[in-house]
Amino acid sequence: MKLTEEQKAVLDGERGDLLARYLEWSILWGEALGATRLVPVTNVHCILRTPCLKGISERTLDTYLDEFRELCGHRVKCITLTHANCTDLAALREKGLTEKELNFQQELHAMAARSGVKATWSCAPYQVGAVPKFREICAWTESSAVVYSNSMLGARTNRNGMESSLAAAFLGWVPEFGALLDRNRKASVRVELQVEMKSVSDWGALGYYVGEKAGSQIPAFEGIGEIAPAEAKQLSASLPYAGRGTTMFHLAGLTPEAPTVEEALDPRQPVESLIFDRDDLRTTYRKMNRMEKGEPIDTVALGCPFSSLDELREISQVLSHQRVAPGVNLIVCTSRHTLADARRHGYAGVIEEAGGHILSDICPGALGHARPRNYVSNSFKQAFYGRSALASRTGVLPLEGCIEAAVSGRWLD
Amino acid sequence: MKEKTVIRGKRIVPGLASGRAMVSETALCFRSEFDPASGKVIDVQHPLYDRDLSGRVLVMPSGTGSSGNTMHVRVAGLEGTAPAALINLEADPPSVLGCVIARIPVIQLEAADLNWIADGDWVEVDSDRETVRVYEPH
Repeated sequence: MKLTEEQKAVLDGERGDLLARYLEWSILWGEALGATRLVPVTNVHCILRTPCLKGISERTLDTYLDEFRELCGHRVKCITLTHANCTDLAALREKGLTEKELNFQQELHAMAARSGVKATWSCAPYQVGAVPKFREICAWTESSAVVYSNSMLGARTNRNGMESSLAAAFLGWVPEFGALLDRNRKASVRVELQVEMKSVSDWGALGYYVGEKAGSQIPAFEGIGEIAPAEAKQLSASLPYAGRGTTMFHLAGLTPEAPTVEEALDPRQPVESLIFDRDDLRTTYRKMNRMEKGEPIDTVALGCPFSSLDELREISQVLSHQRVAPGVNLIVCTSRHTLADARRHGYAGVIEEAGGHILSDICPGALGHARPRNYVSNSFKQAFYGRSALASRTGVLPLEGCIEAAVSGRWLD
Repeated sequence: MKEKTVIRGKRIVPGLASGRAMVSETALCFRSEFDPASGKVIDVQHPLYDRDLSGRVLVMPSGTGSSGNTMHVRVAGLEGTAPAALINLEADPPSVLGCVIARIPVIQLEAADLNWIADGDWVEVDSDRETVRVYEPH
């Protein structure tokens, strides 16, 4: 790695041991992935939370606490927003955490604010004010946000982990590899849509199907006339999960780097062709659905990735004048900013009156304490989480189906 | 121990480590399919379900999915439940970052070379010299 004089000085400890260590990790990470230099970064979506894992030692937890306390004594170098947390900080609703961890999360919010970090606690930074420019170098963490940013906005980010995102925030540099370079932003899979997409969840199914077939390759989609932000968000969420950490997609005629499908394709590589039709759509839902007709449901989770104001309006419309069945936990996750907005618009009230719970800050994948058994979502990524991290039986349905399930308390499909 | 073969690889994270191979044809999302407290794979649909990765040389296509992979790998390192080394076909940036911090060597092999390693084989990963030595289990 070629370093500038300024970078060498930081590595030598000019800004303290901790930042030197974070820079060293960034350098080693970059070298592992083929970077030869560190470049300036201007937009960061960082992870800033404790591990939130049951059964780990006090010593491990303290390692993180000590690092955060010291890091937050510095000022960030660029726009930095925080990823979702594992607790609802406003209500402290994650009861699976120890007192110490919960208290620290509160303290962290204040520390982050002092260091210039915008404590948004959202997995969808583009919904709460971070909209990078075309070609802007970013260091984002959340996998769906990485795909959204690269694909829909034409900004440039790799899939960062906590330490590389914090190094970017407090040092202002990221290693240059992967999606930061022109040559790695071309598609090698061409996907033709031969089915009418009828719901937002269908886009999640599309991402899941293509991810499984294409692995880490970048797909270019043809035959898509229009895409709404919520639909692009679901496509961005399931693609890297079913695939192997895909960083982006192209939509011919719609996304910034794909005026035509040919311009999105990599001329140096053989191109694989995929078709997504009605059968593929149906099979993808069936693959994720583990439930039998009539089976009782205990959890319905919406808001993965976090609901936008528009999605909260839609949920409130579908849910109005209905009542969530006893024994069903209807959870809607969003950011605290969007929630405040939804309260002003009256959407939140409608959802709560119907018996739904709106959580902010917290990722719906972190609801382990609720021990969901039969878990329905409108998001393929969420269902994957439900199945793995929460060990539940899962099912994916479009929003209307999720609300039907919440109201009837049964899997009706 | 009888040596089966020596495979040339590409260094991702430097270092030297050895252990019994644990082989999966499916990628693993450390954030949601692996519990760093126990060292076990927790996704019932994953081929390595309920198996303990501690001290094993994990052979799989790659890490995948979440940016939280970094934290789960680092925590596993701190808790002593991490794999000894990773052998991958592709490097998953968040998992690799966790390995950098936890000092877990990672080496990348060609797909055909993975066939040389069977579950339970004793494997020595020398990422510095870019070699993987495979021994038959005794």
